Amino acid sequence: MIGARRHPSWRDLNRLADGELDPESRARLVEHVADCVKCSRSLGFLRDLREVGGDLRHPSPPKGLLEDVLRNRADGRRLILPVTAGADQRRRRALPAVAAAIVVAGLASLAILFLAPEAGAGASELTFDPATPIPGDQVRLAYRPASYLAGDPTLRLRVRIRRPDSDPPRATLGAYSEVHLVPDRAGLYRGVLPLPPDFAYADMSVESLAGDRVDDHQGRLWGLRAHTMDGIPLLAALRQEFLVLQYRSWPEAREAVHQMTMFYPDRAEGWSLQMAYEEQIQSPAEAAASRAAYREIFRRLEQQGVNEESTAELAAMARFATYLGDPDRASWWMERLETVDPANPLVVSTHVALSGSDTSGADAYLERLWLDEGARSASVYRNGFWNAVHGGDGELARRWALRGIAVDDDPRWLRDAALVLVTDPETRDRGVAEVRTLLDRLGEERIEDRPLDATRSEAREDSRRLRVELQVQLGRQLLASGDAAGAIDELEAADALGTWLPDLYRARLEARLSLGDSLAALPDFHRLDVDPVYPRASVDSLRDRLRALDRVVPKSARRLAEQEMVERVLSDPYLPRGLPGVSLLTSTGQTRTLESLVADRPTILLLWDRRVFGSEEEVATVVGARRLLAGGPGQMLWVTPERDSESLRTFIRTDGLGLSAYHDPRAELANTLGEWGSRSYLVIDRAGTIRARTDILMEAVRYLEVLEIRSRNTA
Amino acid sequence: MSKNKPDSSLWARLARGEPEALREVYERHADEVYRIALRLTGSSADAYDITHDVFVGLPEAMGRFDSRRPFSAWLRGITVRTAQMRLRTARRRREVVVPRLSELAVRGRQEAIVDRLTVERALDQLTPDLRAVVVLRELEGLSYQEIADLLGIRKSTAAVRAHRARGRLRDILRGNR
Repeated sequence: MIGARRHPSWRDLNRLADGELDPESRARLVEHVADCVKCSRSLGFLRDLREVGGDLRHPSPPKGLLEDVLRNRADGRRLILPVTAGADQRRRRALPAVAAAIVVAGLASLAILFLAPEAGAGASELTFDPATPIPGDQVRLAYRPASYLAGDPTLRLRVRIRRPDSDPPRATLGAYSEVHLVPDRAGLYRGVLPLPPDFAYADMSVESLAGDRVDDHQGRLWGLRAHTMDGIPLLAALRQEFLVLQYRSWPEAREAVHQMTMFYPDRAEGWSLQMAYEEQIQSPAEAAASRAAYREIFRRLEQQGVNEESTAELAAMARFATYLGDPDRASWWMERLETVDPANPLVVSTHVALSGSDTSGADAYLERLWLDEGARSASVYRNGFWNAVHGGDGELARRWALRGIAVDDDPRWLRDAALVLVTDPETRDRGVAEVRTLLDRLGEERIEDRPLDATRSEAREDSRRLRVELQVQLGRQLLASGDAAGAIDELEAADALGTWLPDLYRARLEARLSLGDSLAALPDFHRLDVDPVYPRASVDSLRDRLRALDRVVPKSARRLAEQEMVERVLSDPYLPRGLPGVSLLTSTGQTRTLESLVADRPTILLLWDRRVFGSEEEVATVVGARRLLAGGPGQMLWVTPERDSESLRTFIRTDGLGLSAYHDPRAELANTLGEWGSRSYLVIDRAGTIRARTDILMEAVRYLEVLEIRSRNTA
Repeated sequence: MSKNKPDSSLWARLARGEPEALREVYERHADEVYRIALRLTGSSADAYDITHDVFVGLPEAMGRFDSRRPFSAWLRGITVRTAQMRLRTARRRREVVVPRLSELAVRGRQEAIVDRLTVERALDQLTPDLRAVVVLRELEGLSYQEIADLLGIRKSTAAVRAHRARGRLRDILRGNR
């Protein structure tokens, strides 16, 4: 009830202006307003406001806007709009709407996350409903099949689900899940993916049930993020996306970080990562300029206060201060982090790093942590293990290995730990048993172990290679521990798998020499001798040791070794493929096709981003490879997702890489070939056929040389 | 073709990203999208970008369009949310794009209360949430229920925000006097 004498509230005046009062209240209020100058002016203001609104001009969009839209779409640009479906909207309306929209800025690098630019008629597509799911949602999937999957009665969607605290990814890690998709009348394959309550991010591919045909979205896989009720990607989703993409495509990973800063400007995590990324590609002058801006952001974050219960935030502040070159603030934040989470990986690794060459000091610290049940974590035993390995303390390494092996299930960690156990008689049986378990696992072809982008046969071949490598490592460790006979058994078993492996030949040669069987060692010497990459100094030293025997062996032995090498190296099961029609940019901005760059020269393409050159060792490997190729017809080209810049040219010059760099603006080449831009090598023969891909540069050089040997022998 | 009656295949063609379908939808709806974006942001550059983004992203967004509902209202919602996001994340450069003093010296009303208000300046001082409600209510003439549906908030919240926004505008106006 509104009194006639008392001034009505602002709310009631608004309700009057909006026509939302009941008749009685309205009459009283109108009566009051008629006699009250103050209220009359307030009501007048409200009415004016509305009338002004009604009279505003109606501007039209500028000319050329439509053409901009159409051109950008034709160029492959795609955006995710803040669409809120009716049902979701009702459910979400009850919750505080912090922000109701997501707009993903239209960078081409991001667009490829969701829809490949080259996707046109006939291209496959996977869509999600809701497109911005929250953890726990049931996501309806609709898959428009690639031509080679259309018609199958059922398809399988393979998923790797990452949770907010998932470790950095490896090809086979991440909780595996799968969904069967069945076609509707329109030929769209449909299924439902339930998201766990702690869902953050997922990668996906679609394949035939037999696993012989895989649609990996042209090498990119499909990604799905978790969102808030308001449709904003969770910080944890962006974090996991970044962790996944940083091993695949630098520009896309950087975009994920950029979005962290955009959606969560008050959190340190995005800013610190973004700064770290930018520092790697900027010239000193650019870096100095941006550092000032980052310092300002850091100051703001400190002033506004950081959530000290969030270890991610505390760690991000410590990293941020380190990147800014502020050791005092870095220490301060590190201490805060250590108080909250003494076994945090950043704290542990920092302590170990600060111990420098003092292995025992670092170990005492880790031992203290380990004795505290609450602080026992992978970061403690893994740091303990590697600290001991780097310090050359075998006993200590075995102790940490035994601790970790009991709880860890990461195959890579298990492999390293098991191989260390093999070196000591007391733990050898345990180590060998662990390696055998891993070998069995590699031979099982478990679907959850298969990378999302691999067919079954590709995965089988990868497994074969891994088994060979592991068995060779086991043989070498047995040899190092004095069990030459055991080593030969393992190496023979590995050799039977048919791969050309100089490391195997060297280990077997040494094992046979140690047993006094020099004659049996000779074939392996010839294998090393014909290998184009194996260090010549090592071969020469062996020749001196075997000179007397070499004379009694027929000359044909060397030729046989070469023939075996050609057969084994070129038995790569990946079918040779033609070059994709990809255009690359030169440093002067000219467009060149890959075919014209190869131009009848055997070529190694380095599909890298600059981070891969992080160590002097990597640079030395590239320089060494160039030296091996020098004087011959082979060439090495570097394809990078980074555009040409003064900083990039300086980098190439100062590191003595001497490579020609070509910019792949959308990491298109890397993606088209099913490799993710961070580190891989393609071997292309003179005819422009891709003959191999590998992640070891010397293997690529060997491949190239063997191709030449074969062509010479054939001629 | 009538502006209000799109043929049934238009949405399907738009969802497939056919340029002609996008052109057709643009011609029907770009004025409204641009106008709302301009009023919400007060910047023609931002309005340009928002309109651009909305139409570039529209074909992919069609997968979530319920064809039983009015398309224009759905598109308006996307526009508002896109603009709000921009208001929250970008440091914008404001321009005078809505009527100034002279246009607001309202139509012969001698005691016009808003005669010293420059709307662009007043609106600029509102938070994105308040600005959105007052623009949709006063300039676009939507009901509180429509605003609530657009922004994903309760009807009563929309009304309260409108009351607050008007009060804030009034305070700004007083400060300008």
